Amino acid sequence: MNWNPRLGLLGAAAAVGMASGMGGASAQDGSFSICVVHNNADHPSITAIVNGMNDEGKIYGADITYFDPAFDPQKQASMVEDCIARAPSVIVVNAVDPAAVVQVLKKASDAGIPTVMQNADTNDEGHQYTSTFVGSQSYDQGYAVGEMIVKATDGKGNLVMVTGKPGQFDVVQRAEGAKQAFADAGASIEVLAEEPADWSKDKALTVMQDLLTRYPQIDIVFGQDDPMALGALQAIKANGIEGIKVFGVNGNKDACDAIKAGDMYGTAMQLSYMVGVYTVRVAYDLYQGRQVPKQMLAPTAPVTPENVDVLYDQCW
Amino acid sequence: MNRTFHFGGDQTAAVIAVVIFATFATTAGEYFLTLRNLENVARQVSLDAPLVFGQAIVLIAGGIDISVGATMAMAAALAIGLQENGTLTAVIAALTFGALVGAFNGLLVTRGGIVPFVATLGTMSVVRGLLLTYTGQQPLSGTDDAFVFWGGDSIGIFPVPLILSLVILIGLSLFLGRTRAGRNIYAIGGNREAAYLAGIAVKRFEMLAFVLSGTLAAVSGVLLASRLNSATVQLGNDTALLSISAALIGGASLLGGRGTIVGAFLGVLALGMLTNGMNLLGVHTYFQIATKATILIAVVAIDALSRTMARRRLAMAAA
Amino acid sequence: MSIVPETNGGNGQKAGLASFKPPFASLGKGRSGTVLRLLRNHTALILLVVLIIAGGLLSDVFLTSRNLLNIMWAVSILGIIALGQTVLLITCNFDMSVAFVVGLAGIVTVLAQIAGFDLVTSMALGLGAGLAVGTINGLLVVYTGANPFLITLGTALLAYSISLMLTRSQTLYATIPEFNELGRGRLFGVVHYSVILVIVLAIVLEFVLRRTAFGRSLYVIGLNETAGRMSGLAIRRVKLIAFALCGGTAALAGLIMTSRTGSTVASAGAGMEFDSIIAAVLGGTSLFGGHGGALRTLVGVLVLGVLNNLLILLSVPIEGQQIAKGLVFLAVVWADSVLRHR
Repeated sequence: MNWNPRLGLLGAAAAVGMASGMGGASAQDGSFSICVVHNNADHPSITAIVNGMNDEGKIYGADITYFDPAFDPQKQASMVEDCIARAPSVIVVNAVDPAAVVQVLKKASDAGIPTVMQNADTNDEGHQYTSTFVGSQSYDQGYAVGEMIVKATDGKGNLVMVTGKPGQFDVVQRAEGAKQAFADAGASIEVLAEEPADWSKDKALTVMQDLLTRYPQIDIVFGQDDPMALGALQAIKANGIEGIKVFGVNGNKDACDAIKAGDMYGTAMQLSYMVGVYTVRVAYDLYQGRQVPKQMLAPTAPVTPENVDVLYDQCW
Repeated sequence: MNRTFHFGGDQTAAVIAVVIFATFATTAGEYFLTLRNLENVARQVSLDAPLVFGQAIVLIAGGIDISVGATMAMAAALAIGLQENGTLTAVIAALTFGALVGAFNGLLVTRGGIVPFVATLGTMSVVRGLLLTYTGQQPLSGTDDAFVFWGGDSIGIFPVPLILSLVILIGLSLFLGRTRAGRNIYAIGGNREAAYLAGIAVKRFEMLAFVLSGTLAAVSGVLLASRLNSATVQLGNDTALLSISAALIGGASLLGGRGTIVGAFLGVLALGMLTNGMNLLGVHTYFQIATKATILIAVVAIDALSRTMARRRLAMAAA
Repeated sequence: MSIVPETNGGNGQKAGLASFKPPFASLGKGRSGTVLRLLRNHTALILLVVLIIAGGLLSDVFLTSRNLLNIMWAVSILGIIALGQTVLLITCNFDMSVAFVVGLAGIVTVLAQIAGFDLVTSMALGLGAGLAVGTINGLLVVYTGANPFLITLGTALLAYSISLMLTRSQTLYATIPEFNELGRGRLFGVVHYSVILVIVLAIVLEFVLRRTAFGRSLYVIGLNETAGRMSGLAIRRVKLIAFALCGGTAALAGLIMTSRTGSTVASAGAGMEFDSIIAAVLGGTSLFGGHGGALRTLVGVLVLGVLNNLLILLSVPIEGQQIAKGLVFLAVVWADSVLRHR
């Protein structure tokens, strides 16, 4: 059985945590407040995080506010400053760019407000100002997909990558993670092309069509998120081509459906809901003045045709 | 000159700014009226201010510049990326780039006869492409900590970019209001044919307006790079719209010939306080977008209505 | 200074500097004149031909029927939006809200399906949403005289915020399988319905523009609104219809996009407001109104589609793609301007 042992541990810990959380929930004084600055709110994975935070926040009586800078580092910096001005108990930041937030993280630290990095961490310089990181690194997500690809293809094949918006941190990291996985496994997978589809399903469809025309020899498609992977899948189907293995990242419900149906071969599931839950937990610890671990890495669960039935309920 | 009050102009911008200030002072006062917050807002606004001034100048000259956000982002990238050659060199390169983009826009408009909306739209695409090429799609990090002073620090309670922006504001206001060149810019915006027939070198001043816009956008880029100590491809995506809105609130018109730098500053200040205030109140993003949209529509509609009524009054008076 | 309010002179300057040209005699005489006129009137068509020839030479897969059909399918959505935008541009107005109407229409349709409405009703509601936004745009612009660029930017953001509120950033899926046929189905298994739709729409609009009184009135309003008013045209009504039409076509495009991808996204149409204007301008529509046509816009759309396709087929690096698109656009517009002024 393809259980990721870390996933099992996390699940067990979550179960225990939830049980204990629910038990001792009540006596919260209403001044536990969290100010969250996303990198971009208009994406299902972020909605999942928000759901996790809201559900867990109810248990702790947390007052949570969310800000969305839509991938703009300048806006994010301003929003973090506005968070500081609201004097919350904890600030949570999902960094658009690891370097651009450092200055405002310093301000938060100077103001005595602990910061939790969520989903996208800051860089080494910024770490001196933050308390912890909760989430999975996009590099690790890419690596997990790379490993899945190697396993599913015996390390051989021609691959194209459909990427997000050029210049974004996630885009670069997921690509590098996957390529490193290929290198570590000694695989002879050739990356024929990396074309951007700006995280858009429709754009992925049209881009993939052109890629199929250009490279008839494609065996593998790596879509940097599930919508794009599914868009690429549409293009493949519309052109009546068989035998191409498509992989994605996110763990969307429809990606899991596609894996069940045999159309997709894998997705690296981000445990976004749990990331939200754990963010609130660790924020509460910080609020109570407790020590917290420097990192709380959420494992990326590789969903494959072999384990999709088991993991299906966790797909979001 | 008719001194009838109409909606639009410094007076309106000041009124809007005051109303917004008062609204948040009363509803979110405990956060809004703190020194730290006001300093933050002042900094956030003054980073964008030079770019907004440039847009105001182009609007006054009867044009529009949609490429300002892209220029700002590229200038930020250059200011950071070239730091190994010396920070001063990097900054000069950034500003020069801005001027060159402005000159390019100017050429397209004056020699190519292309409408500014279209010309700057094309330039925006080209500059974004250059930015992608230059950064190699990676975010750039600054290496010179002293550089952060210009965008990120304060002298006393005044953020440095605020001081810089105010200096630029005074300089540009004097230029527009007191020099012949400035008056010519208003003239070509107000009525291009009449200005030409009056002997004004229309093309030269159009070019000047675009060069100023590009350079000022680069100034904002440098300040932004300094404040973030990094630069990425994602900067400046909404900045063009912001600058046009701010300038329009401040009295500029898409028809040209009107507007002031002070008005534009008040406009960007009003918008900055609006965003800040809504953030402090914890207003959900969805509603923030809806609010800004409604305000934009309201400002534009009321401005247009008042101008239509003023024209009708003028027509009836003359009849 | 004339006493009568300068409506068209004002409108003409809306997008920027008036196209003031020194009084050259046109070079319309003789053979060189004919060639120049041909070049001028069909810049985009010539560019399209050049691109197609270049594509055929540089890539051995470009001229296959599959690739060409793919290109048409890819741009069919933009084509529909650009057609509506063209109608509006002819009257010297434009609509920056199309991008978010695309998303909103898809969302309204899917929500209607989830709520239990049947296919036709849900699509009608989606189209209705687009028509509503278009009408609001029209009412605001016509009755306040406000600048359409900014008003429609405002309604764009409003539509976006409504889309987000309706979906709470969740992805929604259509519940009626037949709905997917709209965007994905093919006639006789060869040509996509959406391609046929855009071609039919273009032909119909071309007919309306050239052969009906309504179409002619659009051009008159764009060229000289004052003259139009004096000759008794119902200017406000015509403009309102144009705005509503633009919103409606954007909604149609949104339905097709949602159908072909199978899910909704609030920002599905992002960028299409500029792309549709670029396509129309490439095809020869003037931002000052009074010029343009549906078929010409299709040519402009195809230019964009072929360009995008070639950039991938020729493995042009991503940075180069962006620069290339910008330069091609500027080159076409420059050539058009130069030729127009001779």
